Amino acid sequence: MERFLWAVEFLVGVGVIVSSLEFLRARAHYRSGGLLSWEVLRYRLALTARPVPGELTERMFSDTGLTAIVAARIAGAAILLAPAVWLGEPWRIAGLGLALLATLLLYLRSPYGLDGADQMMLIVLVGAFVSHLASPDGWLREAAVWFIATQATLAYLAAGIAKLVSAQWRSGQAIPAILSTRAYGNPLAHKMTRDRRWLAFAVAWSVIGFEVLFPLVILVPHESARVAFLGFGVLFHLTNAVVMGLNTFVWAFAATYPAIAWCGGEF
Amino acid sequence: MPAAVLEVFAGAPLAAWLALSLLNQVAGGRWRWFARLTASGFIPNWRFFAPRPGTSDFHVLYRDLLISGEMTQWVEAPAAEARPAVAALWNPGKRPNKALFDLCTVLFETGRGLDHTRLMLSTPYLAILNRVNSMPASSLAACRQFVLMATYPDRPQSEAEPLFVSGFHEL
Repeated sequence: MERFLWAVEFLVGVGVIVSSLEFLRARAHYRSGGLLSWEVLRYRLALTARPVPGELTERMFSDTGLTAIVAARIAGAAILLAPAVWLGEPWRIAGLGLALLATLLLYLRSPYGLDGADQMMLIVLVGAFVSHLASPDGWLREAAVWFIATQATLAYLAAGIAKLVSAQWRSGQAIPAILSTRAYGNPLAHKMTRDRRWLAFAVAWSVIGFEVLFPLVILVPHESARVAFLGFGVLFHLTNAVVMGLNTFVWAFAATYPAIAWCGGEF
Repeated sequence: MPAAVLEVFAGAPLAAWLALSLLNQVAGGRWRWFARLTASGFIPNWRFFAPRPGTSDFHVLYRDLLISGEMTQWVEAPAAEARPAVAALWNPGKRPNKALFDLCTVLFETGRGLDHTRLMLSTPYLAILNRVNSMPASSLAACRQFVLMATYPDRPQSEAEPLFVSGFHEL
């Protein structure tokens, strides 16, 4: 299980570093006058709206404070990139704890702007952190890995079922419509799928099929089939990254794959 | 305290989190208390782009009421950054883009159920107003108003749809 856990932590570590650097690049939006200014967002929560904790958070979430939080997140994640033989258990607990604490503070700062990749990275960090707190031969270590794998499987299945019940998805119309948007679109992919309805239909059903069938990855008895399925998953996220700009999903969801592979082997 | 008991304490939150995640997929938005819980962002909603995919672009426009009583033209507040060519590796603009999407969605959805005063005190309203008010203004401007618009790029014939119009706010 150790090498599977190391792979989980390595991949989420890369994802956390990329998303943190992106956060730093976009921090003007968190400053005074920005869309996510703390002067306004602190009133989202009753706790931070009060004067005393509010003033404390003013300092914590100032430009300097926020930069320090993100830097701590990067430092914690960087520890996870080192081979396990270089930095042992205490280091990994410290790295995961630091990255996790900083991530929780960013959630407190603003849930607006967070996406599914952020949520999956939080899940992986928590699962990996708990697995290290557990005794090596205890049930909790295995449960933590199952937690990561089950959340990932639920993510694909829920996404697949939601698409399956949608007429827009079943007809393929959803594909060019999504690809036309500024946030997730791509002019070339939009034109290709708008002008070729069969292509939009094929893409839509490929996505639905992959997501709905994803739970089979744990149930299939053959390791080669599992590896092929997960390989298709990586390809799926890489395509989404290139076409839709969903780059951090690659790292966040690929980080769950070693956990899924381990659970599939144990099932 | 025995290690086994500590493990139960550490494992129980994971089980609860997983159960709430499952509940959010099958019954998300059904209860007000649960909606408040999911607003924190900790309980994931995994129904990416479904069942109703986001097919619109949101735009925030503003105009000023001048001291003379005249009204300026609508101006669009700058959208988040354009996606870089290397977005598959590096895409810092997606977070502010998603933030604008989240704020507009919440404002549009809560706007239907709240009276105007409560709506003006809601976080999404104040966040967008704060952004709009930070844009430069003429010294002759007295008040500012904003509007949220949706456009549907895949339907070129369709007109821009106003989703929400704010009141006037002193500058």
